[in-house]
Amino acid sequence: MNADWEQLKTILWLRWRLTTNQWRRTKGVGPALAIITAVAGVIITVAAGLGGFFGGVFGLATARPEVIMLVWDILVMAFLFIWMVSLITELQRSEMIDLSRLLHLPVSLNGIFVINYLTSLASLSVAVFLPAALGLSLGLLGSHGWRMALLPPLVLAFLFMVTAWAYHLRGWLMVLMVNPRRRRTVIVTMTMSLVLVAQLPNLFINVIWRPWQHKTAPPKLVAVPVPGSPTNGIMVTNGSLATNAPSPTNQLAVIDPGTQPNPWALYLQVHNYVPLLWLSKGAQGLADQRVWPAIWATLGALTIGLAGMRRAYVSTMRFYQGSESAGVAKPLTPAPVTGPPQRNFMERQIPVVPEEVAALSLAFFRSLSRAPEAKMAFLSNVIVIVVLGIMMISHPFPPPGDTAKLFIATGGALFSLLGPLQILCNQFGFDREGFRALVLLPVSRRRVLLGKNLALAPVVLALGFLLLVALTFMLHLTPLLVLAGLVQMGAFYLVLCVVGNFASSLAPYRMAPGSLKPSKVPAKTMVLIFLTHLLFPVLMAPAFLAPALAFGVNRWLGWPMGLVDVAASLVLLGLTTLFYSVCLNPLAGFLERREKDVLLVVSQEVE
Amino acid sequence: MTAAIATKGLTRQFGTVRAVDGLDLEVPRGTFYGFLGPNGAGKSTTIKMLTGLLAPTGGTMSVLGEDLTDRRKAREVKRRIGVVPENLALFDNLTAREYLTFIGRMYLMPPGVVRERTQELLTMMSLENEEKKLTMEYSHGMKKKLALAAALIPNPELLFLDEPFEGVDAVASRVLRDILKRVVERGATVFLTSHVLEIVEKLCTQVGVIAKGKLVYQGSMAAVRESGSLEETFIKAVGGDDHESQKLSWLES
Repeated sequence: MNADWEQLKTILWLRWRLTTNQWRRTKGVGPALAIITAVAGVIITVAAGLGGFFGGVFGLATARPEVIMLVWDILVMAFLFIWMVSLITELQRSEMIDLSRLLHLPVSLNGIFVINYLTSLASLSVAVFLPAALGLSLGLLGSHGWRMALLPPLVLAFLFMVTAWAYHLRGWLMVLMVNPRRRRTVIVTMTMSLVLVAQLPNLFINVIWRPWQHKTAPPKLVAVPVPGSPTNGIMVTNGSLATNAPSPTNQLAVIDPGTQPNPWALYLQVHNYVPLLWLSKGAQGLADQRVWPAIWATLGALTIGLAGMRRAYVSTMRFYQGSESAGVAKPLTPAPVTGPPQRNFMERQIPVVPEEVAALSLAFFRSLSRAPEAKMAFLSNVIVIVVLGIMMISHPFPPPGDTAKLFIATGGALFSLLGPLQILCNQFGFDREGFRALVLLPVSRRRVLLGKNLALAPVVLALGFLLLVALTFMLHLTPLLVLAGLVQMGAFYLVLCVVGNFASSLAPYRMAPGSLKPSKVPAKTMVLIFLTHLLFPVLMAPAFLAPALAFGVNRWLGWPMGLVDVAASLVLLGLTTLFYSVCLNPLAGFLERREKDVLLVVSQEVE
Repeated sequence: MTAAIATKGLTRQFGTVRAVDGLDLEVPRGTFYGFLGPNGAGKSTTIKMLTGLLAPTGGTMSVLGEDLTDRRKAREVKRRIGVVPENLALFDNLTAREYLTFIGRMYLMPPGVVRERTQELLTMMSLENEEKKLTMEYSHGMKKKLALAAALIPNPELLFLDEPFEGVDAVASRVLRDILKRVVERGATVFLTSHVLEIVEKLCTQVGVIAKGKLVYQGSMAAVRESGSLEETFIKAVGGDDHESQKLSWLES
């Protein structure tokens, strides 16, 4: 027992040393940042606690139970969202205390497991949620009476449930990620899931609830007796909802004239079955002077949390002791040799393009198509397109006029260039150690840049095309507008390439493998990244000259807008191609001068 | 006295692949044992099982007379062994002194002893001038030396070294060899894997060769020398073909 305690103290000391050394290594701004973070952390924690308390005492003193439930829902959802973001960030870096580094030592695995769990709680989301939730509970205790004393244990049980399963999930994902190829898939899937989950409220409001439709068909208010309900409450009758009650025995019910179930009723029902919402359900019950929902919620959350903890323990121990396979690839069976070897992807030719440029662009393309960071950057775009599309379809927008369509097509085309901006402006940062091969290549740097730009082009243009097609379906764009949009996209992709090539050589930064998280970015590079994103609309603004010209010519001369738009876009394409070809040689020279510095930055491994 | 290491039918299977297949190994105490094998033969998997990093899927094994698969005994056995694992298992954000202090504390050594041994080991490994650097800033060879220092600090009865000489310069290699010789002279056992046959030939008193998960040769170094060189014995044991390189005829054009 004493040995265990000594080792636990040593592990805590280790964590402290690792953290202080990490801050020490960043020098200059590092310690200052550490102090600012610590002070901000304390302020946020205290503010959250006080805010919760005063909110509970004054803000919710006379609030109805369902309002209290909504407040808890918002708090829980905000916590879960930040918790998930930090979970994904954690997954993208190595563990602070990796059990595998300790297994050969005479150490208590149980102790490390517990310490690792407790340290996983040290996060911003918990630092804000816990004081806020406890403060709110105490505030409600002051304003709503003794029953609210059941809330703090419920809050702790809820937190235990979430963190225990998150700990299990993290362990499980880490087991999967031992296989490097699967690691990429896991990170991409998790990040995309987060993006989708973040869009759920948006989709719920815009596609399922559609509150603007309820405004047009006002619900009918009727008095409905609620048996066994001594005070104000809510009641659902035939899929309808009672939101207010004038007396202990009669309540006002909002009867939806439609036959479809009311989303509010659905929302309330969901609280019975989703454990993550039991905290709000319990708080609502307590506000309604019912203690059993809170007691059941606490017991339920504790049981689920214990089950999660047990699973995490068993699977972690089994994995680290090698009883659980992380998925070792089966031996490859050599294919029977039946003739000359098949031509593979890397042997393909690209028409008109010189051999070296073709080889470079195919290699970059293949590498990017397997990089989770690139997939994430592009998939985020697709998700935004899909979500925007759903919103636009479900919203009763008035159909845009011909002039608006002209500009929408251009805007849509340019929007697709925003996604790959980070990759374009840090082309060598994604190569990491691979950039060494580029430096060693006996190829002109002009061709290297051409290869880089060409590798990204198909994905960017395909995404833009997808967006334009989606817009065509939604807004009935004419084929000429789509064509003009495509031409504009090509033209301004060239402009972005020039900017991207310059930024990539000037201020590269290493990307952590498998993430969109830059490692150790100097301040000047940070400023440059910020400026690039800030200047994006300015850089793209000339593209609107084409629709503006089409609009003007149509107004004054009566020529068809679509044709003028295409013609003006082609002129723009000519100009940007000229600009690109003029810039390419100086950019290549700049890369040649900077390549050793770039190599130093992108190949330096930083944890 | 029981053997330092004894295995019977030791097996580790990953899916359909048998990385180690029925290994029967006996390493007497006080031996300098060289465990050789081509890439992917199962050397590291064997070391992982013998040091409690990986559970076997079959067979039995005892380390210093104890069953390492028994979790109650594993911790006690680990107190008596030192390991330089394949991935070195260092913490990047610690200095060498901090890391050695951490290891000493994990072995529950008295602080004064840890301090004294840390200083001596840092001096011997020529790391005392690099004290302010974090291990992430070390070269590969320096990391190897630090990992070895960490394995030595508890003065173990049995030392497992996975490729200790890989990436280490000639001077450091000489220092490591001298240290390891002294470890064996005082009665401890060293079990090492290496691809550098010359070093194994100079240091080891016993060798075992593993290929495709099976032990294909085991004997004393004296017996190896009688039948020729270690290289010849090794190639013969693993079934290597030294005429393979002649296939690349275009190299001569």
